[in-house]
Amino acid sequence: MMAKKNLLLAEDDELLASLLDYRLQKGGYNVHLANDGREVKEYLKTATPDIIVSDIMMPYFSGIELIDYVRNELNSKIPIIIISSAGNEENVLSAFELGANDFISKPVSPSELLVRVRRELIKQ
Amino acid sequence: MLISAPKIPTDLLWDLTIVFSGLGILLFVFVFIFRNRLSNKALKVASQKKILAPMISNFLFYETDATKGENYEYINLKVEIRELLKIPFNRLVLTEILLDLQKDLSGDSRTRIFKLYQDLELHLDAFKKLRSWRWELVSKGILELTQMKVLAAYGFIKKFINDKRGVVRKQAQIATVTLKHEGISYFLDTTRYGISEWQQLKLLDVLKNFDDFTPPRFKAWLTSANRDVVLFALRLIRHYNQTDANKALIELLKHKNDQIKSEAIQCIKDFGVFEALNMLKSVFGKCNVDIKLQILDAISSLGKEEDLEFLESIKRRESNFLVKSKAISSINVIKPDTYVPTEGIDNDIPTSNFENYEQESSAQSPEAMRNKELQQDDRMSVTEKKENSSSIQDYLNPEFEDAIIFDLCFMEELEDILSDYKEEDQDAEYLPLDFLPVVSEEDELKAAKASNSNKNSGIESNEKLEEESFRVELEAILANIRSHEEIIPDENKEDTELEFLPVVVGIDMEENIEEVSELQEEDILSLEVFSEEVVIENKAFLLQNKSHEVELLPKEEMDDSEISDQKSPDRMTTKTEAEDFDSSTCTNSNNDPQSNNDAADSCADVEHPDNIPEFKGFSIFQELFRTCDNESKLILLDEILAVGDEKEVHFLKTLLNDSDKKVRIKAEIILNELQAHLAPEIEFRETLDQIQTTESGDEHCRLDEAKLTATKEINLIPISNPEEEDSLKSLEFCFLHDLESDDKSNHNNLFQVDFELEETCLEEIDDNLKINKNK
Repeated sequence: MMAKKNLLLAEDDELLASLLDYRLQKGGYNVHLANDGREVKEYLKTATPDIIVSDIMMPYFSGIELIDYVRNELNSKIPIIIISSAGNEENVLSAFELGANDFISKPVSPSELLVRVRRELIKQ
Repeated sequence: MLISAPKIPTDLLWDLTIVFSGLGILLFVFVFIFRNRLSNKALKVASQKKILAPMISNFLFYETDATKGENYEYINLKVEIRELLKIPFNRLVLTEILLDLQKDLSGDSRTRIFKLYQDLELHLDAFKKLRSWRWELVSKGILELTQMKVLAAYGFIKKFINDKRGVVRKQAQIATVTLKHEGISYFLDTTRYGISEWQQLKLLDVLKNFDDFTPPRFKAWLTSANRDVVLFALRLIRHYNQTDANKALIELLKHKNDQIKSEAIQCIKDFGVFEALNMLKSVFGKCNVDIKLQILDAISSLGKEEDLEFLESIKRRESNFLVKSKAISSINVIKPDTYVPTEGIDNDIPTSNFENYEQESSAQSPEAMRNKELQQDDRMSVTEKKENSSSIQDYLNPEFEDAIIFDLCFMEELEDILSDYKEEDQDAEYLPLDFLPVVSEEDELKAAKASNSNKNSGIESNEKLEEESFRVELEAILANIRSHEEIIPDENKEDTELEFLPVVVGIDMEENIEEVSELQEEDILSLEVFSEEVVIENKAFLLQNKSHEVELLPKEEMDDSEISDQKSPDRMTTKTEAEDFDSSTCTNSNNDPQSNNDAADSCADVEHPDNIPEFKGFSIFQELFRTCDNESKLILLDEILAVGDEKEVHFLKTLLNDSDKKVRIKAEIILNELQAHLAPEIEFRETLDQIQTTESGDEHCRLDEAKLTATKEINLIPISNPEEEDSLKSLEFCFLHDLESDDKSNHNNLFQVDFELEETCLEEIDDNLKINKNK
């Protein structure tokens, strides 16, 4: 039996985070939940997830900054999937320029997210 | 009179203070309490959300093919949540959770949320809100039921479409349209209130988001009594491209409301309702400017050439610029280029002469112009060429501009030379000297042209033409020169030179001679000036020129100058200086091989004293002696000793033959004294002459040596006492004062050192001073 992949979910909306957490865990991933950018940074100092799913708009440390941190400071090629609100295309473009692997817009379909995560991990 | 302060009852003040303080405290207490209650409630909600959220997740992602354990857990959760929902607060929190989640989720999860909302009978709470007398609760209930897609609420909500409370009414209108597809029809049929622009946009947005929506035929509402319904219907017709309402649209052109009229025109234009053209023309006169512009726009897109007459009439009659302009543009749309711009157009610019211009410019191309010039060189004067060149330059290519300018200058030069040569019969030797550098420049130009020959092959032929013409010109000049050499006898050559050369340098030399005379005086009398390099350089230059002047002066002129110099002492001084420097110039001339012959000739002239009479100087006393008696002559002789110089020596020598014995004896005494007095000066001048002689070879070195020699001979000592310095300011040696002041102004380090004369000189100065004092 294959070991569960570690997934870092960075989402400040607790309800959505818990719902996605539940769905991703049910999908076979070991999910670490972070409610803001600081928690993400702290976690990344101690652990290296297989994939990161992050909201763009987060307190203290935005998703864009997270990508920049992971790509330029940690020099890591961890797959990053960005969750963004509709009408926030500029941020999405910035995220892709900085090295985001994929993007999913709100309202989120948990099933769709699960598929995207699986696909990114397969790519790796 | 003093103004007494009003009496204030302090008890009342205290009471007021206590009352307001109490009110303030109460306010703070209320704020504190309510804030705590709100925060506590928020905390409770947050904590309750944390409990309910996983349960909702479980419900949302429950799958029918789940395991037995999962099924068991699901059933337990259902039981648990129903128990929780018995508490209103939990219902409220759960409703909030579901409302939030439906915003963030899409797809199947969202549908499950709607289902769960109704399964948990949370919509009943929303229905209760609809019965509330509070408009915000009603509005909130309508919104909740709309967001959770509770279709059962449609019948309840549609009753609020004509609610007198604006917020409830608008919320109900959106809910009605959202919940069911037929809601729009019901809304348009029943609404009695106006529909704001914002509301129309919201409703349109709702309709756009319907997945499989079949819009009703909105022409049905074009007959509505509600103006906003008609307007909204027109917009919906336009949005859904419902082209079955042409007749109604045409009829609406007659509507009193401009907004409806405008919307109808837009529909007519978009749908291409050609049958509306006549109506558009009919209503045009009664419309405002905006509608007129829209009608014209519609006519431009729908109209044909038959409609041009109408547009022309509008163009003629309409006073409004915008409408008139629009009519013209409409005419141009129907029949393009009927009207062309007329405002701000420069009518002087020819429109059909481009070919002529090209022909002209090609005819005036640099190559053509140069060929033309070469052909016309013999006929045209230089001034004419200049005038032409200015016009040519407008068309010149920058590459050839310099070459052509050079050609023009060269030809001008050549023309001048030839004309001078022909007119004045000048010596032929002068011509090559000025002419040869021009030739070399021409060669360089040709070399440069040769390097650029690859750029334009057409230039090569022109260059050949130029060379050919130049060669012919040159040969003609040389032939001319040779013929003149043959004609002019050799003995006249020198005369020609002497006549010719002063014309070249004479004017400048007069000025230079004056400068030289001043410098010469300073050089003789002052060692400091002698050490100034710049002055010496000038002097050397001037001395050379001076030698030229002397050698170039014809004999007759020299004689005349002697006569004139009798009247002009300055001029005479200059001549003597010229004589002084002649010898040095002769030696210097060896350095310049080209000028060697000329210089030799001139030196030969100078070496013969017969040719140039000896200049003895002009004394101011000479004139006085002619008119005065013997007594006066004796007094004047004393004055000569006081102020006299070399000029007076010559004059005194003439007095030795005077008829009066006293005068002769006195003149002899004064002459001896004066000669003794001037001995150092003369000696110094001789030294200076020697220096000048050796100057041209290695000027600076020898000047330094001569300076040292002169310094040794005169033996100058720095002045230590300022009083002694003042004592030098006699009439005879006042130049020392001038020199001193000059030295100070020059700020030259060499001149910083003050000098005093040797004791012998000082003795003479003292003697002079004594004489002056006695006088």
